[in-house]
Amino acid sequence: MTPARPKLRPPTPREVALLGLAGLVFLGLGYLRLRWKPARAEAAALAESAEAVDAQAAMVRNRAAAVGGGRPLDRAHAEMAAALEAERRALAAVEARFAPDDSLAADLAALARDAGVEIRESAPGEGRAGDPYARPVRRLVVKTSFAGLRAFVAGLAGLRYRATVVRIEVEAGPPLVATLVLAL
Amino acid sequence: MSLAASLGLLAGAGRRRVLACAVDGRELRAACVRAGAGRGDAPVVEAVAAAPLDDPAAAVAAAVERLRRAGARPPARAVLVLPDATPACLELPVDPARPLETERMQKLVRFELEPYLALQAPAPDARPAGGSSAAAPGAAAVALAESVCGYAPLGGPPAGDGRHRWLACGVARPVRDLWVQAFRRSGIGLAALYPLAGTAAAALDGEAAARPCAVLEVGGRVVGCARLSGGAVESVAVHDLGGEPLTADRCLDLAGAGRVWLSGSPASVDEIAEAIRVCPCERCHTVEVEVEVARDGAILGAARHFLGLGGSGRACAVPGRDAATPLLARPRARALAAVAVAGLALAAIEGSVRSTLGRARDAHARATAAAAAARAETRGVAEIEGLGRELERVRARRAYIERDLARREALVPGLLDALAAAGSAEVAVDRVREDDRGGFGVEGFALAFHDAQRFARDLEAGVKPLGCRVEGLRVFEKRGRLGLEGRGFELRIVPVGPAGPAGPVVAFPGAVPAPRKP
Repeated sequence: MTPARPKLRPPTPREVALLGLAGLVFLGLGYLRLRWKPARAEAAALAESAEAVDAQAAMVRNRAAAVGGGRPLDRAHAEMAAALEAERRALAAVEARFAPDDSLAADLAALARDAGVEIRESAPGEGRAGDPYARPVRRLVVKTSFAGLRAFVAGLAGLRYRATVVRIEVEAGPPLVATLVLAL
Repeated sequence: MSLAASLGLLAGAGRRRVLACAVDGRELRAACVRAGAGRGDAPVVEAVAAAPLDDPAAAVAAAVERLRRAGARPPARAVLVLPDATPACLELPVDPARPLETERMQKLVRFELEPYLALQAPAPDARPAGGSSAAAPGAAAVALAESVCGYAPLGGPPAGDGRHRWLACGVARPVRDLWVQAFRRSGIGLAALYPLAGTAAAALDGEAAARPCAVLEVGGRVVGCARLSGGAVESVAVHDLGGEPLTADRCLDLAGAGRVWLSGSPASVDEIAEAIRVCPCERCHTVEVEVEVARDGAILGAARHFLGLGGSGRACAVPGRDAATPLLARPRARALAAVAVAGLALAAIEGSVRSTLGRARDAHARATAAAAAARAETRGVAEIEGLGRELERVRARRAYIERDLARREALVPGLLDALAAAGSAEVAVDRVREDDRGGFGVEGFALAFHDAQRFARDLEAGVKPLGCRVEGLRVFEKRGRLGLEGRGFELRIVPVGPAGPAGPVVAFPGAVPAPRKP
């Protein structure tokens, strides 16, 4: 014979009320933890992200305003392109005085001969990478007198094309040996 | 607010008709009563009907049907006079001006009425007092345990202990519910239940109510007796006849001398009144009795009291339904309120959360859109900046060619000219070397110290128009090329700024290229 199972006493109204209250509290806490807190965190993250994006956009706008100088970007772009084109044309006009090819070599040889300068060595040089003064250069090692050197350097101004001494070294010798770097 | 006042308000609100009913041991009598046209007019009985009291619901239905046949339209509300309702005059520690809450008042009146209810409770094996079919075996216990009460103040000064006089009545809840159901089946709401004893007093008015008198209500096995004084009930009691017929002598026992109102079914009261008048006994001839007849006085009294036409202080009734418990006093309502409050709170919080999230998402979307537009601007800005850099490079290149190379073209020949002009037979220049700082180092040989100094001075004068100056002259002993003792010297020619027509000397750092490898 199995012992009779004790019957559970029905809950009193106060116990029912407490159970209900506990249920409400449990639901409330669950809501706060599973909904309210993540939502607040998401809202805070969104606000922070929006603030950062806003700041980034403001920086870009400020940069655009600075670049555009208060003008619309497309207009600033057009004006800048026009200015560049004008500058390029001016540069082309200036560079037109330089020899387009090696035709200046013969002139240099003739000038050296007239000035009594012996060109011992003539070699093209290499400009430095990123150098804005990117003219082709030629390095000359000449043997001459001081007067010949002066005549040779002075005679450069009379050539058909521009040739500018951008570097000079003189060893008095005898004989006088000078190293000239010419921008052509 | 007392029941009478409440009922008066209801009546005053336009509900001017009522179905007034009364039961005795044998039948249910019903009357359609409406208030008079004018204020103070007597109520008008439109129709009357009676039905055997075998079953409450059947009796009500039969009476209503007979009223309809008589051409009356039964009102939607009814009052019932029944012998099961027990009246009593109580002294309660409650000021009528400040009554207790309904529930507490009910408890107090029920407690005070218990002795009267116990007295009237029938024995389990006996037919209940008045012969009402509502009661059943075991009703005595029911009447004591579950009764509903009505009460009305009687007025007058309070007693010495501060108690006030109240007219109260009570009826077993099952009895009331049974009659309420019975009327409901006929589509009529039972609004109030009046006791048999004393209710007829409410039918009196004017001089009749003002004079001291006794009101006897004859109702089958019981007789109710109410004594009036000054227009209010002085005492009320119910007497069981024990199955004996009501005699003139018993009437005198109950009512005493003076004016006596007899109320009940017309046949019974006429019979009793005649019996008193013709009674041959000596007592009936010596006692001065003024007998008046009020046929169906209880029905009229109940209707008059219910319609608010009078009878205040002479009748009270048990309401047809319990006063509504205050909403928040109900556990279920409290639970629902708690759930509703919690739900509303959650809804409010959720609304706030959604609003906050919505605003944040909108702000983020706006910022993202603005950032996208800014990114598009960024490309334009980068292009403009690239154009600007290219423009600067081209300008620098043009400036180099137009300004710097032109200066070099003036500087180098000028420098050679200055060296030639400063030179002499006592000075020989051995080396001229351009350094990376834009200056020129000059080394040479002089026969004497002052020759070197003169050379430096003359050179200074020669390079000054070129924007240069001489510095760092150092003279030291040295043997010359031809073996002559003399002085070696070193000096530097450095640019000093825009002093000359050619401007500052431009340095070309690293401009001496290495020979190109074959």
